[in-house]
Amino acid sequence: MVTLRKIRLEGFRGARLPVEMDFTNRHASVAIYGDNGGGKSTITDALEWFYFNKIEHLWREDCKEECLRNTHFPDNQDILLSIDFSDTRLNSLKTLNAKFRSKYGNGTQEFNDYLEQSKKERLFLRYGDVLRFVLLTKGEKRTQILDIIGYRHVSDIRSTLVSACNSLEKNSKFRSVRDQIEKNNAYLMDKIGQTIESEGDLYLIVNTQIKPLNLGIVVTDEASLNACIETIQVKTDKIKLERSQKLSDLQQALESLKKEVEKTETYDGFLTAYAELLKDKEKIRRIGLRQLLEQGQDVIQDKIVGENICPLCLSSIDSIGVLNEIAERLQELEEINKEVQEANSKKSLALLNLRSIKKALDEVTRAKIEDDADFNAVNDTVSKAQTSLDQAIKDVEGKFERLEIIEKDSELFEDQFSNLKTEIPVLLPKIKTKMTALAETEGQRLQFEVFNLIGNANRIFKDNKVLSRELDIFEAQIDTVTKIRDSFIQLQGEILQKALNAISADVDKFYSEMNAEEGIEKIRFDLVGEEGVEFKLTFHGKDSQPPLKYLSESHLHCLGICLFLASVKLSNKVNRFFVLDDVISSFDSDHRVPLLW
Amino acid sequence: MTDEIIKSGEEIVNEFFEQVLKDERLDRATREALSDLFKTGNFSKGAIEKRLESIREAAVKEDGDPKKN
Repeated sequence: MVTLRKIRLEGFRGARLPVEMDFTNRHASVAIYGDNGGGKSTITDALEWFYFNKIEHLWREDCKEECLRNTHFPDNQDILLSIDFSDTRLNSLKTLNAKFRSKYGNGTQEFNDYLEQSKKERLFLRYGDVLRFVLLTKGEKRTQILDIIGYRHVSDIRSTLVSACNSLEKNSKFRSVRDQIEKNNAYLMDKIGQTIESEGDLYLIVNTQIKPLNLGIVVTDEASLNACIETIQVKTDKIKLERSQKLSDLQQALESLKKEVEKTETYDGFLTAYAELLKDKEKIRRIGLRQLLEQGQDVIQDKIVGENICPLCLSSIDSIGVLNEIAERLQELEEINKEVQEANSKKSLALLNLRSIKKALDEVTRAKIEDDADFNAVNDTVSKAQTSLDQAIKDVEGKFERLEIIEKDSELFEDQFSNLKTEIPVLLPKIKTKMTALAETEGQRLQFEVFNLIGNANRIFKDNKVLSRELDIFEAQIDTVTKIRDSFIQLQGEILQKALNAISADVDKFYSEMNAEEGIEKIRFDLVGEEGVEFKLTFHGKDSQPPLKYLSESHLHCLGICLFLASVKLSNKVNRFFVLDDVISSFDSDHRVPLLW
Repeated sequence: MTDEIIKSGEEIVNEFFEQVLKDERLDRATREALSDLFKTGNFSKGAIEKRLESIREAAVKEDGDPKKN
């Protein structure tokens, strides 16, 4: 690991004249002390600028490069900062010229990699940051811990897996494939009393159906099935057979449409919820403010423009009051968001059903018979309904996004669908009569019936084979993503708990070394609920949380320092040094020495 | 002590997806897709949906390919 050897400064902040600090002698720690304003913090500032190209507490106050130059340093000279490390390949000079352009003297890849790695480590703790963690909320502590141990990425992967899993389960194609298989199977159950799971099932059914026709054929494979169909066609009137098949297809399509047009209540349910939502459009538009409010909350909490100052107009504000107001508004927006999400899921269901109706209308169009006046009315209604339904689907998809009013198409829902509801039940018996009338003899009627039945059974079996394959793949994907999600959540819980245990053990060890026999023991982090982390400890033998309850300010400072030390141990993999700047102001001398040791 | 924890978040997630890739109890195409999206830095909900959809389409198309049958 890398340690500091020498730091040389000139013209940087409090160091106008050249200053050199030599850490070559091997000491566990070095304390720099001196009068106020003597330039102690200049060392920390220089190191922070070297690694991060900024100094957080100054940049936060909008004091940038111009503050890095010592006010008495000649304008025509570059600021110099030179650092020597235990690994001499990383030694580098950093300069800042009069135009505030900075430059490293070391341009090697090794040095650049080292800088990048160092940016991820915890190298500095200043007085102003000591209490930052201790005073965070439970959820913020959890996020901060994830950052400290570098597990924020882990949390992001978990969120992605959870949302991908939810989305797969709600996938409209998945539902539609499942519904289509159910519909096909319902037809088979109605006509032959069983579903067809294999070629064997299909051939058995065909052989049973053709038995009364005495064709002298036993169907055992696709070739014999085709031979069987051809034989029926040869033995009977081909034109009438084709007509019978067309009538059978239309009958099936109309039966399906009859069921589908009853499913408009989900659309009505969506329109009611959506109309309710639209009553206060402005309310919905306010959801767009959420991100801004959250960012504002962070800016005020992190005091980026200072304490009790408005980040926008820079006038004075009561930060706590504003934060409370933001929290209330975010809560209100969360409620509105829930209403929108609810309407959105009703929209998805309505769309799914509208698309099923559309599919059924398309099937009727494919099977339509145009040379029979009995079907003119239904053909006309179906054609109009198709056009209107296309528009209704487009409206739901587009107007919802734009928050525009969706008018229910009364022609479609009250005229065309109502017509279909009355026309189809009248037509179905007529089709049956027409099919019966086609056959001149009982034998021919049986031939037509068997021909249509085995044709439909064969087609449905083939359709279901494709649909089932798709469904199997869907189910395998859902099952796999769900298992991966569950394993990941379990792993995340284990690693977070392990990290918390490790940090707890170190924080407790460091704290007891610095505050022996003061009644504060067993300091640990515990997971609180699903999304929180909190310090716990025993105070004179009694369980206590949060630490603010009993600990004095100096003890809270000490706790903050211990957490920093534990996080250094956990996250610093490259650098074997860190800087504590003015963190022990509230410590008495008895507590200062143990920290140095 | 923290010395026990030597793995970074990145290492943990990498190892997890390596294990996922080897887990034969899981659907092969799905585990390969998720691992690949992770490795290539495209691990998002949208990318997962898209990749899984293309796997379904390809599998159904392959089944319907007369050359295969």
